[in-house]
Amino acid sequence: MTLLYLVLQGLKERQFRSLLIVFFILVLTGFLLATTVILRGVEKSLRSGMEKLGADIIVIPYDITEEAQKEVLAGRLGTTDWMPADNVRRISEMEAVERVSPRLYLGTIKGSSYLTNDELFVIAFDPETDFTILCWLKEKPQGTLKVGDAIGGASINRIATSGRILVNDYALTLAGKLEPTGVWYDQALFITFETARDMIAKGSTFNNVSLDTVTNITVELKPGYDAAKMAMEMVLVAPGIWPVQAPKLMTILASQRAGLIKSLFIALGIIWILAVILTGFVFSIIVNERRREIGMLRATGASCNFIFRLFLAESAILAIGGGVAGIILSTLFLYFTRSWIMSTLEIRALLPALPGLVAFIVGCFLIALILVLPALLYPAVRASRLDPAVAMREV
Amino acid sequence: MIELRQVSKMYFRGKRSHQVTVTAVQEIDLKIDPGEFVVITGRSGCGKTSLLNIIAGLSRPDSGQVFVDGTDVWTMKDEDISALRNQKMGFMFQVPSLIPTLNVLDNVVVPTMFAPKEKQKDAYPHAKQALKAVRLSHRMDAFPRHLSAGEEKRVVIARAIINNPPVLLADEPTANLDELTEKEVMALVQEIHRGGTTIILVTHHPSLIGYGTRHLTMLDGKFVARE
Repeated sequence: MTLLYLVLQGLKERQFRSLLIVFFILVLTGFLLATTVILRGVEKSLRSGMEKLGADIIVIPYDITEEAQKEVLAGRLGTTDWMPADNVRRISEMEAVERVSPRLYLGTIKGSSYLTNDELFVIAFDPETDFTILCWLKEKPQGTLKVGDAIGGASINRIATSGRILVNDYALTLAGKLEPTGVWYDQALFITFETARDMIAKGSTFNNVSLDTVTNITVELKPGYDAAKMAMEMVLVAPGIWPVQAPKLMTILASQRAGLIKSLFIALGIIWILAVILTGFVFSIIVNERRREIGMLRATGASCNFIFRLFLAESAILAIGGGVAGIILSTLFLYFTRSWIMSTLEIRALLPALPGLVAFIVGCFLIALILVLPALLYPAVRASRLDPAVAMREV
Repeated sequence: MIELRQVSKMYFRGKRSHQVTVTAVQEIDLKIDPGEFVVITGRSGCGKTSLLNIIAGLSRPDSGQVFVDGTDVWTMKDEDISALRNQKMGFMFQVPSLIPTLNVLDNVVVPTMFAPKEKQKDAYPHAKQALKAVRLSHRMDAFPRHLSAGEEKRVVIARAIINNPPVLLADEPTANLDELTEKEVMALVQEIHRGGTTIILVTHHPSLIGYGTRHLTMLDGKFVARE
């Protein structure tokens, strides 16, 4: 007979309590992994946006509604507010400005069959001045963009490059596709202002959008100029605008997710405390109920060390069992709900590549074990220090 | 072989603010030679079990010394005391002491887990022999919850003798048994004694005195009569 046999027989015969402890650890590990993967997805998405959006300042109309401001800042482009296209010229003439590029939100096509998400944003942009969209292209299209050409975001995955896309009965050619950006670009179809003009001329209507307006202007400053100071000067040059500095934009985006992240952390903390308390409690009950068994083992020759190892092995098996089950369930949960999580949090990537995922799993597993260690060690230490004579008497 | 010199043991009862000190064993001197069958009697609470636990190295005395084969037990490390218990002593407890999650055969094998490697090899054949000796071969696969009180005592005896210890310590071995079962159990204990094992038995039952070669009576932690 071995220590392991003794432990396994004990666990088999005390199934309910064993499963209860496994469940506590399962919840803790599973939640830890899910939270970590989700937070990493959010963080990566934000970082990616910050690194690649490129603009120092994004100019939007000042008098749009608060709700619309939030939507614009969140990258959802659900606003119907525009500003005069002349602002582009005014800002471009500023000494500190290196380049400017306008964008015009034309409309949203709901229930589009070209992408997984059900909303497709149609945006007019200027390829000549653009410095934030075409840099995401997977492959450069041959020649310049012609009238009728479009560039699609990464989520437009149900049609191949060179395929036809019908927007308001106007046939566009998908001339190129962007890399995944993690922001609204993925759901957008970019066309030139000439194409937009041609579409409107041929009867496509976009809520009476005027081509003399723009929705936002991306601005790159010359090196050495302070973005905050230049933003203030822009307001003087082009009244009625709201220049948002790129880092500030990301801060606003981040703060919108901060509530969720905070909630996840609080929930994780509560689950950890509960798991530790309940695991410790259940294990203490088990130790108490087994005082006579401990006394008997000590009387027949078990040392304190053996009793400690016995309870530690039992704890370790339960913890590893719960940890593995938690990891498996959590991974399955993340895999099957990834689309919902991604669309809810407006992030593009959730599950990391396999090596990264393995690292996350191992990390979370070890952290969960370390977190429940006090709850598992305390009863084992108590059991090993139990006076055998007292243990035999008290039960 | 076993010698106690001026051994005392106290317990504290009640809450800290109203703690009462109870002297369980008071300055006891005792020498037990190999092959003896010592019966210690006395009323409940007179210190019999405490004395047995001290002899067994299960409970540390507050003062005095306990020698087993000339070695002062309480100068040894925990591992060594545990090994001494495993190799030199077998136990029969007053309370049910089988592991409820193991069957009868596994329960009997338990002490061999702590024995030297060479003894572990033949653990199961030895356990079967021990069970045969206590006439329980047919109950090897049963779990403790399915045993009668008498059967459980016999399993405990089998477990106590599996390592062939030179000393068997029995604490109220016939408690809660009917007269017939009591006689069966004591017959087994006598058989073990005849095989050369030293028996130290504590009981409040006067009918067991006759089984011993020596009888000691305890009162308030002291021996008041030696026969």
